[in-house]
Amino acid sequence: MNLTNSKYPPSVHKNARISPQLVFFLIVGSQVGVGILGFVRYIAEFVNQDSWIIVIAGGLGVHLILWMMFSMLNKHGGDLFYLHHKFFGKWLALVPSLLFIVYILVTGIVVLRTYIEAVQNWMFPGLPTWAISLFFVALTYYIVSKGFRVVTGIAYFSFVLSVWLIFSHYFPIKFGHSINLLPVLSYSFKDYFEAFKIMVLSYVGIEYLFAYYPFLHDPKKAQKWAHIGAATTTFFYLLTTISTLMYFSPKQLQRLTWPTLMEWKIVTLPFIERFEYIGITVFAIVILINLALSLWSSSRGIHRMFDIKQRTALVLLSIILFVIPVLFTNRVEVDELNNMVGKVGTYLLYGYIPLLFLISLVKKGEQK
Amino acid sequence: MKKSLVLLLAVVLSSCAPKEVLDDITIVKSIGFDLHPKKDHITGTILFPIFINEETFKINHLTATGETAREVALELNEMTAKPIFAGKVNTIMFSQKLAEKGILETIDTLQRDPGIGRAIFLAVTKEDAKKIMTHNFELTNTDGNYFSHMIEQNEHFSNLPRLNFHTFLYAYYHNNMDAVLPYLTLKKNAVKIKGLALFKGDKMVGTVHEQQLLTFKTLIEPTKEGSYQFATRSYRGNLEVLKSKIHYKLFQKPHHHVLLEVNVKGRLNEYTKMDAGDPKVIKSIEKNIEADLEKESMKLIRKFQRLNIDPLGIGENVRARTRAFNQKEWKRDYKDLKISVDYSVEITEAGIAQ
Repeated sequence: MNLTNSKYPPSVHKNARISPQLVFFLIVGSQVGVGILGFVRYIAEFVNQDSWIIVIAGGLGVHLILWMMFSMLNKHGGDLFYLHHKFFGKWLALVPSLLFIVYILVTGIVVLRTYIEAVQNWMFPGLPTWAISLFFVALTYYIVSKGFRVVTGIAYFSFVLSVWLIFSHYFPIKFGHSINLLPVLSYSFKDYFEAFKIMVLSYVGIEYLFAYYPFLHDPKKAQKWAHIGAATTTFFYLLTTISTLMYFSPKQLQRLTWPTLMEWKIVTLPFIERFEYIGITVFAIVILINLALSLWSSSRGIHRMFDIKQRTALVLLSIILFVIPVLFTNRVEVDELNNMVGKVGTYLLYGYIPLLFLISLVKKGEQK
Repeated sequence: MKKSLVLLLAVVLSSCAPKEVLDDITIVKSIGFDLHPKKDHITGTILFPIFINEETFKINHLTATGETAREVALELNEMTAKPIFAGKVNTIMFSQKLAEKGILETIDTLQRDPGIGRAIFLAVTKEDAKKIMTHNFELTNTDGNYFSHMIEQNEHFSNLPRLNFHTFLYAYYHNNMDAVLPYLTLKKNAVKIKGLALFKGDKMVGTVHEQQLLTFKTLIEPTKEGSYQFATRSYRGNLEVLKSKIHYKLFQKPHHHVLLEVNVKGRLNEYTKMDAGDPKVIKSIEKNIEADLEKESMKLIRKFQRLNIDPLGIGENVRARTRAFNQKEWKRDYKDLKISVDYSVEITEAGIAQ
């Protein structure tokens, strides 16, 4: 094992990099996951008709964090593992880097397990967890093993093949009640704060940038596209929130596990009577990019830290990603897993990254 | 090699889930629930098509009894040749007797089933649901869609407000609202809308008469359809509603006073006297209709207040317009609240004849 690999910023061959516009798809693909099917209920529990304000606030927060991430990476170059090595030294860098890798992998596990639960509840109650898990992990392994450019390609496909789903909000808004959004701003600061903390879980995903930053052509230009991506995510969430709030009465919403899936039950098209089945199926490709980015970033992290071949790390992490979802057997555990990742994500985004940003301001930048 | 592995997995794993092939299941179209004489028991009736050959089928019905909807379903399943599947259910009926006792348990079971849609119709029947469903409608219910189509077309083209499973749940779980359902009765060879069944929680507590349907519709939602029959001593007529909108006004001081302003635009469809071309006459007809509608709607609202229910969602509209809305106070004061309605009717056309 060789810990000096992260001493230098990685050199990525020109041909292995991606053009800056494609960061848009990576950011949207990493942020929007299975959470969009259910997050409104959790924030509405605290601020009900004002949930949309929290969505906007959370979106603005993401821009700030994204800006911090780009600033420090632009200044020092390399990736998070290089930054850790540079700031904390060889041995001390192990702790945050390892935690980061574990966290990245767990975000993938959460998405996979939560999606499996949706499939089992709505479509195939008899389908065993391991079967769905195996299917997704095999596919993800296949994608990730082909390298970062293929992952980016999947991000593009994932966006294009699923973006049309936003039109499904037409029906719930049409049947909805606009008075559900009134009166505005009628909760205490504490409620908004609680809701904001919960909202962070839906916005995590931008931290993968820490791993794939060296793969960007022209990072300065890419930053613009990253911000556009984050704004797009916010827009998707805002639309979902407004349609959910308009469509359900407050107590009714609190009784639903998957409000967005329930909304799709009202979508009736001439050729398909039960739209929710289409929706769940399309979400397979949405979570595929979540998983691919999670696996790629975490295996990349191990490669960078320990100088192990990325493919070896990938095999190992794929096995973990396949096994752990099987160990979670019920709704309560999945909920707890989600809460935990939400909490850690909050600390990472609004605690650790700003801290790292402050350190990076003090440290000397890359020598040209 | 890897490609073939993925392909192999896709083929092998896709057989993991139980299949539901259309030919091998019982596709239930309608479900009816009745009160059973035995204590705490309900009777369930289902309508489903039986395919005789590829083109022809007949609607069959089955009935079973149990303590819960699930138990009924289990009983029914023990009688059918193919497993029961609820994915195509389009109407669910409750007999008035059962609705008056409460339908919470049944509703709860239905809403937990991912197979049941939300755009389907719920209704309360004056007679037993079983009697209506098993009635021989000969040509009208050949495909099992008669009930749902009847309700749907009345919602879209006539006086029935937009009601379905979702709107029921919406109002049922709402703090400031109560649910309503279409109220049906059996005629000689048809089912007829008799009005609306009013709910307080999960129990039916009253009805809205069919002649008050349009008034109710204009009070609960903006609408673009409906027809209003009016009469005075000297003439009769019919107003076809083209557009109706409702606005809420609150007067906080000196005491709570809620004003509902309803603007109705319509067309004169029927009029028994011959002077409809005269603008003065039109004005007086408008005034008459306004007075009529106001009287009717006040009757309705009084009734709701007396029953202490709020199917129109007046409380919800007050909440949306009040900062620091106090729900307990609202609930307490609702019965004696001053509510008034102000209609303004505009007749824009008088039919294609003068």
